[in-house]
Amino acid sequence: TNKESVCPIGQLNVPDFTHELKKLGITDIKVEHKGDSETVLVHLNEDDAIIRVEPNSTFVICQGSERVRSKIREALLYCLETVGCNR
Amino acid sequence: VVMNNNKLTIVDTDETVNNVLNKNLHHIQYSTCLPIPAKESAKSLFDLLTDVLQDVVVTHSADGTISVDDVDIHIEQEDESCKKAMISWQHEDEQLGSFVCKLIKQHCKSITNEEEN
Repeated sequence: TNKESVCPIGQLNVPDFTHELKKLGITDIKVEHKGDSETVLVHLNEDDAIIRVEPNSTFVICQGSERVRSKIREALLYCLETVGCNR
Repeated sequence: VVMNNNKLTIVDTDETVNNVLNKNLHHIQYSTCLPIPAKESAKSLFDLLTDVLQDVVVTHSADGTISVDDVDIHIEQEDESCKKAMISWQHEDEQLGSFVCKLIKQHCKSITNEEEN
């Protein structure tokens, strides 16, 4: 199977990310900072999704809606820098 | 592959990004939770996936996890009437991950429709 030819790098800027989500029509967004850690949870309550953002990783959990997941993916790739990669 | 002092070296992607760009790869994982009919089992989904994805390695481990190349599927039984399939994959496996999701969703929909008719 084909692997993606572009790899995201660097850190995700959460305000930029939520701004992009809003531009894509996702407006019910709640940002939760986890104590003193660098972990940020982004809750999309109306769209049944949660995104856990850490310095070098992002974990997206959706409840089956491909429309919502593809918007999250689009916003992530818009906000993160990318490099070409061939795995 | 990185060229350094006129020498070509094959290196791991994480290491390359770190050394050359002085940045880390940002790993993205997607997990999609799909409700599945109560009578569906890991075995029936395994059979479906091996049947459709003949060019991909599909394995079924003892703990019930199905792996389709680098895409993992866990079947979770919430209670007697509610079962879920948690499908997870990394950014680089987007094509296969989204395909597996679509396939399982369509399969479950057709079973539900059959039961209703």
